[in-house]
Amino acid sequence: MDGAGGGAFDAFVTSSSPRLLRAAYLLCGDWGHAEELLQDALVKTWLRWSKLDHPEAAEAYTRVVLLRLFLRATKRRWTGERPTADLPEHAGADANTHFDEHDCMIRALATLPARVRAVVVLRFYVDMTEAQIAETLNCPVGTVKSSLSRGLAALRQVEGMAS
Amino acid sequence: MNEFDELHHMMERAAADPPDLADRADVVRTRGRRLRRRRRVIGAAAAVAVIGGGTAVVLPLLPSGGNASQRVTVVSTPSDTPSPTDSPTDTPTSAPATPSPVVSTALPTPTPTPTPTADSPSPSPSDSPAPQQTEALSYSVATHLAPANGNGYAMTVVAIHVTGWVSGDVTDSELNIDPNETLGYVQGPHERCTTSATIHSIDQTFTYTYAFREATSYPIHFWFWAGTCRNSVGHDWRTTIGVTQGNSQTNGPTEPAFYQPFYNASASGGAITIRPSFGDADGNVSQLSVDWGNGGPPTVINIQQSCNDPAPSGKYWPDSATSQTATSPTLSPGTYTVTITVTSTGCDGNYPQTASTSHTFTVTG
Repeated sequence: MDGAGGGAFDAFVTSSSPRLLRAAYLLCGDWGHAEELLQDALVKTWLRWSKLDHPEAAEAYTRVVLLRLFLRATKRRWTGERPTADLPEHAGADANTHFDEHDCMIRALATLPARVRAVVVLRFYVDMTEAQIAETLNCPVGTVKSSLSRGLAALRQVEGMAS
Repeated sequence: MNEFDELHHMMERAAADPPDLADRADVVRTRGRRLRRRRRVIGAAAAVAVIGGGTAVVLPLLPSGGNASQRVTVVSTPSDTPSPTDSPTDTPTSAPATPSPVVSTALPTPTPTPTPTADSPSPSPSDSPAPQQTEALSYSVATHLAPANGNGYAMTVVAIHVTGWVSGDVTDSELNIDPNETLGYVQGPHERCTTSATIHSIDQTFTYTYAFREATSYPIHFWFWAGTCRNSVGHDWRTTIGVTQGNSQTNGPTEPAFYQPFYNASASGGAITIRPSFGDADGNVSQLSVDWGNGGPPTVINIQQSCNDPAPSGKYWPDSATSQTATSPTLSPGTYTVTITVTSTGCDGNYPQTASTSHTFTVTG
């Protein structure tokens, strides 16, 4: 068989891609980059498909690969992100007339350092425990706790997120 | 609504409308095949280069204090060209697995910008462009055995010494030992940020402690990143190290772990259903045991999957990941503490390791 069994891999991609793509989007804030990230992670999963015997295991594996690819990508090159005290105005949205919760969350996440953002997304979107996040990121649980604390504090500072 | 639920729902709404790509599986499969072909070509080219140029790395052994150590000094131009998010072996321009070392006698002397002082602070990092990494860096590697720590595994310390000039601070590093460079790499122990992008000299040793499975040579791929918090540049270096002491165990020292032990678990209809996912980065998960907390016998699931023993057999640890579904017998209303235990072994079924976790469920009538 050429790497991944056709039907099973197709079914896995079909069923898990939406969840993984949403997580990738929350991490990088752009659907195009999220799609690239997901495809890169899926390629690695495809190459190891014969070693994974269950769709849920494949999804967990792909999620970890995706996360590490994201963290590597943010470290490996200039990503265009700059930490700023004041958030720039968002193109296409009129902040004076309409509060867009969707934009608010994505912009709020974008203010966080990549690793803190990953911790926040894993905890509050993927619903992983602090211990699981520590295992995934290969760091102490205390680091996860402090990252969560800093991340939540930073999110609360963003206009529209205070509540 | 508590804070967790509120944030969870906000994130769900924020990512509610992903674009549809109907043929994603086909795209992935095509890319995977292309990648596999490219790796074969690179592997063949590297082998030819080694044979034709006679550049196989010979690492002289320098015994020291009872510990075997080795040292080779190499000067290389860091491959700072931004890499794709695929592992570096995916790119045709990657360095061959066995680089040709050039013994260094002196470092180049780039002209650094002045080191900032209290009176002349560095420019604002948020306004700094991406640092230009044109400096040569010098790398050397030494290995020695770590002191015995009682876990029964021979641990090898890999110390990579880097000198040269970088912009900003070293933020973190990693050492890839896993041939796939996906999972199983050893992450650097520190992660910190600086606000200064000033170029300065570094003379730093990165150390990693790892239990190699076999006493043989291992290609390694070292990375470190330097810069500011969000504007760092990666430097990488490949070499081959000689490991003097392997391990006779077939299951590596890292214990198995649950990734999502009670994700999508439910307690309804008088029964509890769990779908734990778990794995072992250097072992083969072989059994899941579920104690339902009702005083009855545990549910034991023997994992039926082939053991992943990466080639060449015996050089790298196996790894594994899976998830299982287990449903309790009918339970009377009440509170139950469910304890799940995963057991991993080597591919030969020996050297078992276990990990457990618990969760409390309420079964209603």
